[in-house]
Amino acid sequence: MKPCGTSIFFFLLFLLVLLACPFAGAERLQLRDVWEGLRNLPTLDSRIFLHLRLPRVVLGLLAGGTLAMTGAALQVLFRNPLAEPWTLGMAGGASLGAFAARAFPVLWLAAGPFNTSQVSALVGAGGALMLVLFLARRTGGVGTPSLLLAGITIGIISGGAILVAGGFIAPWKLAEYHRWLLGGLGGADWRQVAALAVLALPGLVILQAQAGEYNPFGLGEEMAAGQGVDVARVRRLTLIGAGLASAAVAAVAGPIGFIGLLAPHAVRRFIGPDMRVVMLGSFFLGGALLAGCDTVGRVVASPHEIPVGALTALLGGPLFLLLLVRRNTQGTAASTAEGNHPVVES
Amino acid sequence: MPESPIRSLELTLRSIRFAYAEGTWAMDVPSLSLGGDSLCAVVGPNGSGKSTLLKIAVGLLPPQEGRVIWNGVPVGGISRRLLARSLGFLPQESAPLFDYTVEQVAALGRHAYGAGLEATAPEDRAAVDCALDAVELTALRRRRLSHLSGGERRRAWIASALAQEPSLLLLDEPTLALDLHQAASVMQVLSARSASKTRMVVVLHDLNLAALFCPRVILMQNGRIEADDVPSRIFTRERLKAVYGSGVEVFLHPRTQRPVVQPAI
Repeated sequence: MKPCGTSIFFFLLFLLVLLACPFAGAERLQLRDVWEGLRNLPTLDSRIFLHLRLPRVVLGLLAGGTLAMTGAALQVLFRNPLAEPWTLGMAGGASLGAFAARAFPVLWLAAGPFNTSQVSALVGAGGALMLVLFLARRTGGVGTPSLLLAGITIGIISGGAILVAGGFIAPWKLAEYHRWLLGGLGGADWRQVAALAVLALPGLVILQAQAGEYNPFGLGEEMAAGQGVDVARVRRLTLIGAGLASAAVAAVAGPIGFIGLLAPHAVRRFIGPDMRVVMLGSFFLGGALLAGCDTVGRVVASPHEIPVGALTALLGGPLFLLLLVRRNTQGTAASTAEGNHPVVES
Repeated sequence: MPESPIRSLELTLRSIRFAYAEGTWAMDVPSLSLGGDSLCAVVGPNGSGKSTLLKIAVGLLPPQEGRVIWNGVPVGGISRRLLARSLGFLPQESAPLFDYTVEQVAALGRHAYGAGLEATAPEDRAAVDCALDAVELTALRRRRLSHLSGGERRRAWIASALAQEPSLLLLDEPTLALDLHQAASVMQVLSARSASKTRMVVVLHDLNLAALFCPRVILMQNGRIEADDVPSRIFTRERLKAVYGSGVEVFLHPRTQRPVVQPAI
């Protein structure tokens, strides 16, 4: 199979979602009215399209793509096919940080696309990741289920902290509060797209620049080092890129789980393990998946909405369990042995 | 820029000291030179520091004292990518993350030359073909790792290191957990290749394989080099008893005239 040819399919899917999903929703938009409004005087349809639907779909595409690419990179770095921002606790930690900055006015400051919730999300994501790595190294290694156990627990603790803090915030902020527990794209606007992009794009550029170095990691860290990979450098850059990317998403959309699992696994199924293509394919598929799920959540329950984090959990959770079961029935011994030997510590 | 592969390069360890935080011994190697012989075995009891010595030698484990010099330059001072073109390292096998094909595993050996999972440049293709031929996996090149036997998998790993075309290759227990015939075939591959292209240093558990294939043997105990010599002077009853702690019998093989070691019972 030609990897590049198949990855064009994911790109086309991404485009299809971008073009079709803004037209779906509680208010049916007519293509002709939207087109008229965009060319001449704005109509109601063109306003809904431009200011409500399009930013939301673009936010979904970018957030989903970011999560998927980050997941693909983390899975290789930790040699753990179940690693992604949510299962590593980064999404939870970042959401707790972002929530704190938004819920308490003393912590809130904004300038253009930058605001304090991005900073606190970064602190949250980085703190959670460091803690998870520390716990995993003490209990068997980063290649093992310990990593996930620590990550998911930290996610739950973060959710608990958000619920507790929710008891102290101003009542009119409660409407926003569910997003930080489950993840959602409600109320998306172009400012949020900008806020996501300024943080996520540098992270994604760093990750994609490492893509070629990820391939030898598949045979083990020491093997990669022997084949000419500067393991410590790749590890450092990947953690920085993944931290930026997952903090960026959590700061605008909360802890959306499993996109970073679903997309890379599906992409590898179709185009094989070459990480240089897998990373890009994951971006396109993850974006299409998240924006697509969000559209479904808007349409089926309209005029209410289902938070997209709930749908991705229903879709990705079973895959997580399936992979967990399959992994534990074959060859964990080898991965445990590997996990115990971090050759080059970062 | 790329080193030309076949040149006699020397890997020198000087006044190396290294201790693990929780270790019972400290590595102490005053002076050691590798790469002067086609195939050199490193043997010794479990935990005597064989793997540690190899990792220090390729710069994966920085020693607390001392220097490792490769071709006149400290190994820590060369980029890993450039180093990998002349100095190879094959660690003990670990479970692959993805189910690669044999060909992809071999192509990963060309990473230091900028190749991806599929070797496309002519010299990368040639190196991969040559490596697969050397380990006799050409017929299975499109087979996935999950469909290989343990011995075939190990040979695929070795093909990756051979495709790298280093002038010196350090291998950590390439025969571990293989049955007699598979282990012998791996050693034959290494022996043949070391005579022509790539000099090798091999950590071995099996003293008889070392005696049969290697013109030089380094015997280690508690982080020190106990002896460094030709097999006939290493594999003596007194020396092995001193290092391994229990009695051994040593015979000469009637046909090859190589030492054969068995535990005394």
